[in-house]
Amino acid sequence: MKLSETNKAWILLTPALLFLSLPAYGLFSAIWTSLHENGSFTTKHYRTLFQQETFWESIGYSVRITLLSTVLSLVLGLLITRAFSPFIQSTKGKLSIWLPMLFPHFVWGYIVLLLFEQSGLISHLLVEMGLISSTSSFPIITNDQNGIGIILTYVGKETPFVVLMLLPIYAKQQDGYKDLVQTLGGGKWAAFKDAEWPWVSPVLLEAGIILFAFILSAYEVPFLLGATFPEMISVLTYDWFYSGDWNERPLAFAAMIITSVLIGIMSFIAFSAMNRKRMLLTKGQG
Amino acid sequence: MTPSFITVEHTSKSFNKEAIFSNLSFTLNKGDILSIVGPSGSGKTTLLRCLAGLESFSTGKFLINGKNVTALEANKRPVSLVFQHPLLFPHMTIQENVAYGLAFQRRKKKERLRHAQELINQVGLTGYEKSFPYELSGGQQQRVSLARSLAISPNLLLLDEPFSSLDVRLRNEMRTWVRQLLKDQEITAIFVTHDKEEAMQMGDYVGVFENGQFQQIGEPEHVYHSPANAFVADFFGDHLLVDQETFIPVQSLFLSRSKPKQVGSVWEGIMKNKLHVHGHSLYQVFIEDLNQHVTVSSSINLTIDEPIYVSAHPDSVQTFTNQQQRNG
Repeated sequence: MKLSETNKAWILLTPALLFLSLPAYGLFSAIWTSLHENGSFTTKHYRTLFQQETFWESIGYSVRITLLSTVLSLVLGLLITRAFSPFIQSTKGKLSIWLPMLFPHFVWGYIVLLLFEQSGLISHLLVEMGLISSTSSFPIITNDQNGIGIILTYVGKETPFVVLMLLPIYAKQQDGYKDLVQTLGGGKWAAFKDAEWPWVSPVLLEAGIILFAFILSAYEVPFLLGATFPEMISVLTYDWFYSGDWNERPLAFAAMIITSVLIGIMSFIAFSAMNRKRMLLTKGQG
Repeated sequence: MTPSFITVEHTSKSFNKEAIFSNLSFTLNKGDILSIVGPSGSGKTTLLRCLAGLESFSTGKFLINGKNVTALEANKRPVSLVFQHPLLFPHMTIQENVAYGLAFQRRKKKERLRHAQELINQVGLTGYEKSFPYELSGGQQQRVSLARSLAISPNLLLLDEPFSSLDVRLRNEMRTWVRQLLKDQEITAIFVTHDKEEAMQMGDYVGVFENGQFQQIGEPEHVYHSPANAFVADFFGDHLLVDQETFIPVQSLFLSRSKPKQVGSVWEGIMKNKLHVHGHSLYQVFIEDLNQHVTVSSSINLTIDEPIYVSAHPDSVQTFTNQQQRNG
């Protein structure tokens, strides 16, 4: 029996769809739970959630840390790729970029803790060198209210990811466009703006969305390196979910749904801004 | 005597002490088109990049209209370059692409777009202003690329094998069309190619380039009929090279099945291939004694691998001119 193209596509997509059904089920069950009480529909949990100051504090704090970590990782990743592109494309270079990718986030967070906590390695080293009088003079940058430890961990862990995302773009970058800009009268800035950025920006944006979604909702790093207050939304949700009070469980679901909606909105805006440009770039190459 | 518009004096270029070209000199008058033709790897693209300012000359001077531009960077030189590939910005419209270089000349947007429109009309693409590059064919894209280079009104236009990515028919059309456009607008241009027909069609002068040297510069007809040396004769002409000093133009050769008497030069050959061009039968014959293939027109009906005599009258044997460079 000969399969039509459409049927063939569906058969090929089946494993992916089956796999996606798991998180989809989780998401729908969370939406269902957050919108029901005692078997009947209600928006009560959302209303309660929106009245909680802790929730708003947590969302604001999470978005701030997420945006900072994301932007810093993107900028650092771009700078490193531009500066060391030929080296990174060699086996040694690729290995040095891959290495941090192999550590779990929790391990990376633990390294940051060991290095940067007030009684950590760096603080001891500075005392030994006589640069500070005691470890208590070392600034608090882990488990701190500004989330510096969290940001340090994410930047350290995600920058290599950004480099790996950008590498193929720089590997196949045509020097021709830069030469062209120069022969038409443009300087270095114009060469970057018109002969490099249009190809780099869609990838940066894509990497940015992945990082934003991941950092905003990931749990282990803020749990390890965060302060007691304010907490990142994932930690707050976890607390609500496992707290003794069963009434808080729907709140946890509602908070996670809000997080998902936030990620959804960000992705939608970013993709709609980039899709046409991306289409033009892939179609008009050459 | 009026000074030349373009003067290249004793220029050379080397990378890591390896000379790409050395002691090159030539001049061009305003509106002249020079075709530089040579095999791949002969250094002609490097010469073009040096003229564009994308590479610097190791020694020598480059003057445009009497002004020394040798030390100027690419973006400050009144020179523009049309590349092998159109290199249109895929995310810009045709009009934005053509107007691109004008932004660096600090012209107002309205004027930039108006000027770009004029050029789009000139290259025959009226109606495509708002299209994107992917909507155009290869030939149309290369025309946009040419319009973009012309838009900045360069004193010298460089073209680096701009038709090499086009199919044969389109390539032929583009050659005639581009030459006409350059002539109409009196644009001084240097055209690089590895195709001798293209060089002849495009240039007022051709420069045969090999080993980092011009082997000969002159009008196409002159270079074709009176090659300066064996390389030019072999690469640019259709001649039978008798030795390093003499050659016989291919039109003076004839084929015969029996060995002709009272003829100065006769060689034994084997017919290797047959082709038909403009109503003539051409035979590609291999002459073992000279280790050369030669293509000769003949009305005899030959079969592949058939032995044949290739002969020429003694008067037709010519000596290379060894004329090195065109003056003025």
